Amino acid sequence: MIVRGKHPGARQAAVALVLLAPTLVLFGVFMVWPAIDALRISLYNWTGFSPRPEWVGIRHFRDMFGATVWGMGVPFLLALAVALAAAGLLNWRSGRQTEPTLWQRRQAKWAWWPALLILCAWLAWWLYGTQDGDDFFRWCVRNNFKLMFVGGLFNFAFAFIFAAGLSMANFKAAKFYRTMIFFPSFISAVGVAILWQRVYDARGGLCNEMIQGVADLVSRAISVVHPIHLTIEPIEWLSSDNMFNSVIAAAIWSGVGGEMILLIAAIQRIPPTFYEAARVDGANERQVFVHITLPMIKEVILITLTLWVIGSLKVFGLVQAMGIDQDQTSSVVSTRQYELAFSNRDNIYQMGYATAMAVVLLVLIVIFALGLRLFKSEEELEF
Amino acid sequence: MRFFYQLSAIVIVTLLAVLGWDLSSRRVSHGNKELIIYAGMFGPGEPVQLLYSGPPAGLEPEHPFGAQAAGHYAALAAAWPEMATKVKQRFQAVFQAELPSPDSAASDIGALAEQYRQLDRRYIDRLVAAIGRKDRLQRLELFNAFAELHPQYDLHLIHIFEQLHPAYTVGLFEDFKRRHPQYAIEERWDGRWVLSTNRPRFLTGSDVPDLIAGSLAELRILFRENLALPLDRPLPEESDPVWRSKGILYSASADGGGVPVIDTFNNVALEACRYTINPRDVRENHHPYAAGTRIAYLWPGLIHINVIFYNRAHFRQIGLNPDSPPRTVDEFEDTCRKLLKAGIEPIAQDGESYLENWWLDLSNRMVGYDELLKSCSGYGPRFAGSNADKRYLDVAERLRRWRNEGFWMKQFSASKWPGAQRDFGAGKCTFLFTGTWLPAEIAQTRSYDPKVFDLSCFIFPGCPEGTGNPRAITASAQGHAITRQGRNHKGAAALLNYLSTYGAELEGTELHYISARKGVPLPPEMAALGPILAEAKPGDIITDGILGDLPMFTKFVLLESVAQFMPIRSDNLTPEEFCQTMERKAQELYAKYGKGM
Amino acid sequence: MHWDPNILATVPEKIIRIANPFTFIAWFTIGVVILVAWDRTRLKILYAVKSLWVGFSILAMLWVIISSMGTSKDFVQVPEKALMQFFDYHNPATMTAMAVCLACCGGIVALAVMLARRPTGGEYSFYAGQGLLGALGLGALLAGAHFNGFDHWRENYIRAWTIARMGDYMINSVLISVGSVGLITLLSAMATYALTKLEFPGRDSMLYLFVASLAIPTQLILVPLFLMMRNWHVAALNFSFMDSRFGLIIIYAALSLPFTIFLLSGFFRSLPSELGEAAAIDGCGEFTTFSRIYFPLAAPGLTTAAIFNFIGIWNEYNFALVFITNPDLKTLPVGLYYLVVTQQYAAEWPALFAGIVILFVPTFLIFLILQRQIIAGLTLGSVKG
Repeated sequence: MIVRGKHPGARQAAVALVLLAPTLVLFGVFMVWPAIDALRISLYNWTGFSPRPEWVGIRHFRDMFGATVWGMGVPFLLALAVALAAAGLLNWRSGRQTEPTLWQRRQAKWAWWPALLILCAWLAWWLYGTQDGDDFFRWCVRNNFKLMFVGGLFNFAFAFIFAAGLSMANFKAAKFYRTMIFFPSFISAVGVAILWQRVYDARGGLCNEMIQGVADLVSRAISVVHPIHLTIEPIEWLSSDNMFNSVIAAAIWSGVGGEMILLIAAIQRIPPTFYEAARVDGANERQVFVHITLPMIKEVILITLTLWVIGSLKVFGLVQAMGIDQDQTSSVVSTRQYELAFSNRDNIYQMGYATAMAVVLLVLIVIFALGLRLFKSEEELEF
Repeated sequence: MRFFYQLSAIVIVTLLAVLGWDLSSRRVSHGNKELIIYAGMFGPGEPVQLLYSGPPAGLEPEHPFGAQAAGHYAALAAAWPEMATKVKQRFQAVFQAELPSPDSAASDIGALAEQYRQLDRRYIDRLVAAIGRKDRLQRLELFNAFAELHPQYDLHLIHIFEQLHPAYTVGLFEDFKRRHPQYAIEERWDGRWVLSTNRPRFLTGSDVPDLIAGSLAELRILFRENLALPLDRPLPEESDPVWRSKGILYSASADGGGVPVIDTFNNVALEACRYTINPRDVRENHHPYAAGTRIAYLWPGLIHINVIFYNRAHFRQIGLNPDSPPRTVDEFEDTCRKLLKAGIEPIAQDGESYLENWWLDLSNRMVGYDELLKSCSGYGPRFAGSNADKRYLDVAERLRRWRNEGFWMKQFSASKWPGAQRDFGAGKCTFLFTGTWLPAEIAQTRSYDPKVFDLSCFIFPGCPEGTGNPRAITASAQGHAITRQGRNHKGAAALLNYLSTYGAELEGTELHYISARKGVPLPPEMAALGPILAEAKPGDIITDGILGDLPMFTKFVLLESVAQFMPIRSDNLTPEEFCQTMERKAQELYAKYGKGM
Repeated sequence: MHWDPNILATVPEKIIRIANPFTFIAWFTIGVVILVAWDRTRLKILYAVKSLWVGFSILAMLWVIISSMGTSKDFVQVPEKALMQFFDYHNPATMTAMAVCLACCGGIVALAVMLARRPTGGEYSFYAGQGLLGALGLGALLAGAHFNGFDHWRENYIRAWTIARMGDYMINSVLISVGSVGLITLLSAMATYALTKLEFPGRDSMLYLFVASLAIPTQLILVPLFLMMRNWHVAALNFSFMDSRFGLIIIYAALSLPFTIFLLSGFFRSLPSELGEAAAIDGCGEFTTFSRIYFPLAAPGLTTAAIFNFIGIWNEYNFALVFITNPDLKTLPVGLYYLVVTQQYAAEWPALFAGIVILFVPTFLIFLILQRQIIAGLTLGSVKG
């Protein structure tokens, strides 16, 4: 028997609360509260043994960025505040319009750009223009950025090429290729790391053996004219100079499949009528791709990019498993944080400082995720 | 279809089952025995772990006992006469040698034979049948059979990669339990960074180990945080009269001689296990032991000394006397040049580990440890700048010269641990600068042909122009700490006492380690260290060196600078730049955390 | 920098260092130019790139499997031996194995072509045939390796399973993954239904909060959670979240909920609201509507989400590394990680590779069986906007 209340809205709210309650409890206790608590812990010095953290205020952040960067941060922050205020004002004004035009909405959105650019300029200056502060941390952030930009470029380029190819009507054996490209993203980061350590092995590793194989072929070809045997000096893929680039290659290998599958799903969701209409209008293949496929999957591209940005900034497993006992050139923020907080070989435990690192990581992620949101198109395509 | 409810039911049942299993598995029953929780720093398969609870090192995998363990075959034959001929035949077939008769090595075999006699006949059958079968799996099968047939032994396989050897399941722990039936032991081999692993336990206060075995560098943190008991101080809250009046280390040693335990350890071990409580500990952690000598001791375990191992075969090859290794760095350089000329790579070295020790020990010889400590903590002459000590630049330049002349093996920058050890053990390089744990670590992989590899060692050569103590040795110790939060202090102390009494001989002979106990002979590879160890006065012993005294400096200044200086890399530093980098990083460190960290 | 003669030794290495990012970018540009210029051969280039990629992946995986069958001694002394199992044509066993392999590949392609030409029906017999041929080819390859000295597989896998405790870790991993995936599926379905199909104040901002929390890096909450464990120790039961499978299940569930809700919200929105309205007219309450109508309807999306979560949790090891110190309770990736660390003391490379295969086989099977579900769930509108 179902009794209908007088206010269906209130009833719905009550049911929604009941349905949401367990999720909210878990979410609040294990994510929101620790995240807030982390901000507090980052203001303490704490070894993790005795329950007596020492209050140090914002010293960890000052140490991280160094005195001059910290000092220069003030003008930057002022400029940032001005830019944010201007953008906020513009948005507020456009929000007051009952029916803002597309142009007004765009204007409001583009107003955020100066603030973002100021932030990026300050970041870039800190990362690449100074010698100040914790240079190990800066090195780690730079590695994260390298993974994000270089790795992201390749990751996305490959994912895009693969997705576009596999969605072609005349592409044979698409299912086989899809399966085989997708499956590396199902292997655990530890597994990927062990696999690639083996691939990069200077002696008998796949990479060097392949290079030597090519050299053998070439020398066999030259031998027709002149007897010769080319031997390639084995490349140390995992030496400190090459280490992080090798990690990036492994990350690309294991990351492409997932992004490709998201893109394929997005392309397959486009109704075929759109293509038929375009063909009727006489558009060629490239025009169809540029004017129909791309705009239709733009949202998914943005989501994929956002996921990559977040993933590359908080990458841990692959780097940790690949970089065990190696020279620390391949450290990223999360491995350094893990080292300082949990597994210290030198018996220095700095949980407060490690948490401060994670807070900076959070800020970076938020900046990049919000920056990517600015690319979101204003007109909603419904299909 | 009520799919939703079915799924809910399944999920809830699964969660409850997991919770129930978790809760029940935490209640391990030990009957009416008192539990001692032992947390050891050794990783799976490391020799000490095998000694305490597993088989001896040096077993060849193809045979139940290795070729070295002829005594076991003899004991087996003596214990089971009806099997004797079969054992003899198989031994002969496998090792091409006569089985030693039981009388030749009397007492040992008698005790072993007694152990074998107590084993189950069905197991003995399988054991004898396994001799000479070249199948590595049989050891696992034997272990399983042993576990099945002998319920009286409580076997633990705690992430040990090598399985326990049937003949040695009576490890030290098992023997201790037999002598002290009131105790049960829970072993936890927590790997190299035992403190990191145990930190949650200290925090939550649950499952805190009663004793922790680790390096002094780790255990001193326990002291600083007031989590470990000082062993040579009166402990008023304990019931034992000796402990109350003098301290745990003054209990009588386990072999019944009536000597206090502290007198059975040698000087180096005691010196290496000493911790001086500094004013900061008192200030920050309200340390109660500030009064008096401000000294606290750990329970000494093994000692490791930084030495240069060398391959005597190469010395003979280039016409040098293998018994007189280089005594000064100049002689060392000359030897290296001669080796290079003869086509031998002088120094085996990885691109990443122990690099800093070259700089540290050379600086010890050059400026002396006290001076170095002052410089590093920020109170002495600097590495670069106006008030720099020129000799730090000399040290860097000498190291760079060695590298440029090609003293270090090829692949030095890129090779990973244990590449250098492997090459050294195979007789490819002459020197290896590392701790005295080396012989134990390469026991399985080294060559035993004296024409290829003949191991000995010497301490770091002195610098004639330097002011440092040429006899100073950098020692580190693996000690034990009894934790304050542990429940069973008495059991922990008894176990330690037992281990250091009965384990000492085995440490030297089976493991090739240097024991902490007086009078235990050194392993043959390190016999040359005997006089040095015997004569070492407290002033000659540098415990852990800078690595232990200034951990922050080590991590954030020394290691980071050395990593940019020693290996060959694109952004490699020159000696001047190296000193400047050290100085810059040191100043940053002092600004951040203060001096003397 | 002063002149260093040893620098010379590293020069050739630098010239051919392909991993240099600038070289990467140059290669990429060249690739794009080729793609655009050769418009007509684009399909062929696509085939070539994909074939190279896929060939590399397959070769690497097979190579790991073959490595897991060898001995440690071979691994250290003749490291190229495993790779020679594919390319050493002077060896009769290898040659036979590769011939059988190629024949099987040909058979698979032939079956695919025949299937494509067939009008309708009977796909499963073709798939079964392809599967059999694939298994035969793999078997031939492994048999070839077996006769070339890679005959220690039984021992290696038993060692990994029993002594390196992969078997125990497998049980832990299964328990933790299944428990948390079930929990996530239930809770996220309930939450997403409430957030998309019910009207209540603050609904959109709550959904937005969940999406925003995707930005929280796990490292940020690791230390605070670690701290919380101190206070959450139930002494009476001797229970704490530290060293507990149950605790890990709850933590994983909590961490995966935001992403799952994000994934499912698009899917639930694409389900017609009229169904709920019709049910309301029939007298169903909101909860009944959910459990009877929307939950079964959402099954494809829930399956996709469950698979993603399962894979993620099965492979996760950051939290497991921090929160599990008891060797009895480790999960597979953590066990494998410690096995890697163990290589310092006991060189057991083949068992390590056997460990990877053990870790990977369940996920690969799930992937093969449920691949269609993943694509279907994604295509139906999971990730959108």
